[in-house]
Amino acid sequence: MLNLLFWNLKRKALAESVGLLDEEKKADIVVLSEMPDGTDEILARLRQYDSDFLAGDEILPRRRVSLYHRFSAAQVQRLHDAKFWTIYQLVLSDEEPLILVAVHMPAKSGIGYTGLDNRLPQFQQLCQDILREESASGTDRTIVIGDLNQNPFDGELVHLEALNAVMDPDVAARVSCQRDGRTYKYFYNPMWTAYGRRQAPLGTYYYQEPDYVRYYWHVFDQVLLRPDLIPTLGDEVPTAITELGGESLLRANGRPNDSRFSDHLPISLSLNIA
Amino acid sequence: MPTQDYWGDFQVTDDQLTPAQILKEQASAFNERVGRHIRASVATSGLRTQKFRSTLAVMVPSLDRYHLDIVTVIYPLIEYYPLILSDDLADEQEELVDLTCKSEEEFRKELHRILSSTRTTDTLNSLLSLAA
Repeated sequence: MLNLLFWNLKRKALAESVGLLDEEKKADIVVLSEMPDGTDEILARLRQYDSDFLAGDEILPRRRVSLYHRFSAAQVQRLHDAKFWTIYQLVLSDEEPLILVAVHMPAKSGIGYTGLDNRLPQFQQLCQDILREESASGTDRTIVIGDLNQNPFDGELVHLEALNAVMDPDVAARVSCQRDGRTYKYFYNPMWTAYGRRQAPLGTYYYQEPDYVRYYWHVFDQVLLRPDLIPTLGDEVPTAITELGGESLLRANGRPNDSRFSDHLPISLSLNIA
Repeated sequence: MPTQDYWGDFQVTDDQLTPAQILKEQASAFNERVGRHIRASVATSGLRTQKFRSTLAVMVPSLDRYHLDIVTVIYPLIEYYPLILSDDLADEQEELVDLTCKSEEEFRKELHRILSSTRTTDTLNSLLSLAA
C-alpha cells in the first residue's frame, strides 16, 4: 500500500502532531502546506518514527508545499517548482512512474484571485504543467494532493480546460472527453464522498462566508487521481482525520480546533500500489 | 479571375514588443551569461477570454529536467496592457502581491526589480552551485 497524508498547518508549530499522525496512518508520503519556519523540526520528528524519512529535496529552494517520504532520494525526483505547486516523479517499483503534484492554490479571497476568470488561468496552467510532465515521464499515473482552495464542485475543479475532475469514477474511466475538437483528460475526485454526512466533519475546513451564498463547510483539501489509478483505490475513500493520539482535532461544536491545531483537517489516502 | 482578399487593413509590425518577447529578451540575456549550467526559457499559452500567459523559467540540465518558474505574466491579446505580473519565487505570505502593470515601461521596471532582487539572485546562485 502507498499511504499519503496531507495537512495545511496554518503556520502552526505542529511537528509533534505531524509525527503522531504519521505514526497512526503509517504514511509513506507526507505533504504539508503553510509550514511554519523550521522544517527541520518536522523532519526530525518524522525520523523518530522512521529514520529513513527524507525531505522532498533538501538541496532545492523551499516552496509553498513540502514533501517528506520514506523512499530513497533516487526514487523521488523533484521535477518542477511553480508558484502554487511542485511536481514530483516517484519511481517506486518496476512499474510506470507516478507523478505526484503537491498543490497549495491561491485563496478565493486573494487580491487578484477573486472570481473564476481570475483563478482559472492558474488551474489551466496547473493542468498544462501536469500534461507536460505526464508526457515527459510517459505515464498517466498522476496524483494531485493538497489544498486546492476550491470545493470539488467549483469551476476550477470541474472546468474541462482546468482539472476536469469528476465525481463519477465510471465517467473518469473514459479517460478523456472532447469538446470543440479538443481532448480533455479526466481526473477522478473521490473527495465528493465527504459531502452528505450527518456528523462532523462535514468538510476539511470551516468558514462562514460574508456573502449571501454560504456553504460554511468546505472541502478544500483534496486528492485527485487519474483514471489509471482508480482501481488502486479499492473501497477506500480519502478521509478527513478528526482524532490524533486520542485527542480530537475538533472543538465541541464539531469545527476544527484552530487554536490548538490547524483550521484545516488533515486528509489521508491509501492506494494499493506496491 | 484573381483571388479576392477579404482581409482588413493590418500589417506586421515590430513597433511594440509583446510581454512574452520582453521575457525572451531576459531569457537570452541570462543564457548568454550562464546558459551552460542553467537554461532560461519562456513558455506561452493561450487562455480563455483572449488572454495569454507567459512564464519565464529556468531549467537545470544536470538535475535531470528540474525547472523553476521565475515570473509569470498574464496579458490581453489586444494592446497587452494592463498585464498581471507574478513573482513566482515570492514567499507564501506574499502571494497577494501580484502586480498590475499598465504600460510597457511599468512592466520593464517591475520585471527589472524582481529579476535583480536578492531573493531571485540568491535562488539562482544556489541553483548554479548545484549545476556547476
